Amino acid sequence: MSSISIEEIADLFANNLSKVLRTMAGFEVSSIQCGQQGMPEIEPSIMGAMILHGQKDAMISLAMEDNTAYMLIAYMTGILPEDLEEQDLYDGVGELVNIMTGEVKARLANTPYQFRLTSPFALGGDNLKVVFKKNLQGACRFLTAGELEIIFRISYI
Amino acid sequence: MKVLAIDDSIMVRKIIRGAVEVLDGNLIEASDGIEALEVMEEEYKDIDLILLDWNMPRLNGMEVLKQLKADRRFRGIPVMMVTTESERKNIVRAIQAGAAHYLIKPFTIEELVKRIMESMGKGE
Repeated sequence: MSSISIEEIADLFANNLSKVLRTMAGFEVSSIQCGQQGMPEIEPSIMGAMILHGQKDAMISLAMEDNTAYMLIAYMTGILPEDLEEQDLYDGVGELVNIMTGEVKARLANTPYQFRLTSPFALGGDNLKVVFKKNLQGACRFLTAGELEIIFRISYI
Repeated sequence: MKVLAIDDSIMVRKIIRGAVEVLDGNLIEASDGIEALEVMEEEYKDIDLILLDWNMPRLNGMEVLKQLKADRRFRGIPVMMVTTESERKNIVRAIQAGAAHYLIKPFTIEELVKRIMESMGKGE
């Protein structure tokens, strides 16, 4: 198998996240590389993440503002946003990472890029960001559908 | 109809609850394999279908499936795996271990309802 860049792997995840959001919540999501002109500033307050163990270990994360998380989980569960509890948001965002990862794991199985995954986990706080060492390879995608804005990141660790 | 949903995600259990309620069924929940086996001891006579996640803490879905199928009290209850595990070899493993149906996440609520009906012998 020819080599796959981390940008291509990021696209695999972003495309699969789009599929998950279309299937489970009915959103048509578009994805661009982070840092492009016109990308709005967002201040994430909730993040779902997972560690991937493979030939190279990596961390993936989905970061978003609370209102995006409420909207997503509401559409996915059919429960009104005002009826969702905080634990629903953390669980839902973590599970979103898990579901996004499943098909990518299957596609990369039996290749040099295959990986095992940890349980997903979630973080909360004001203006969350993950900072990696400068020399580590990483990639970022900004996914949007109307008011829904999500930042996906992958970085070798 | 009584369904046992075994999944460590609250969100997924809520989605399943929505589907079961569409079918006028009752849902019992377990958040991992150990809890599921405890529920089974108490409730197995009333349970018509088990929806089982694969990756869970403490006791994973494949181990739960093996234990269910090894127990003559439980083995007749159909099990549908509901999981992100989509590698062909894992699907085959689950079917060989006794899973009657296999649903890969992500799914639509309509798909879930349809698969539950099929699992209950009420397919279209």
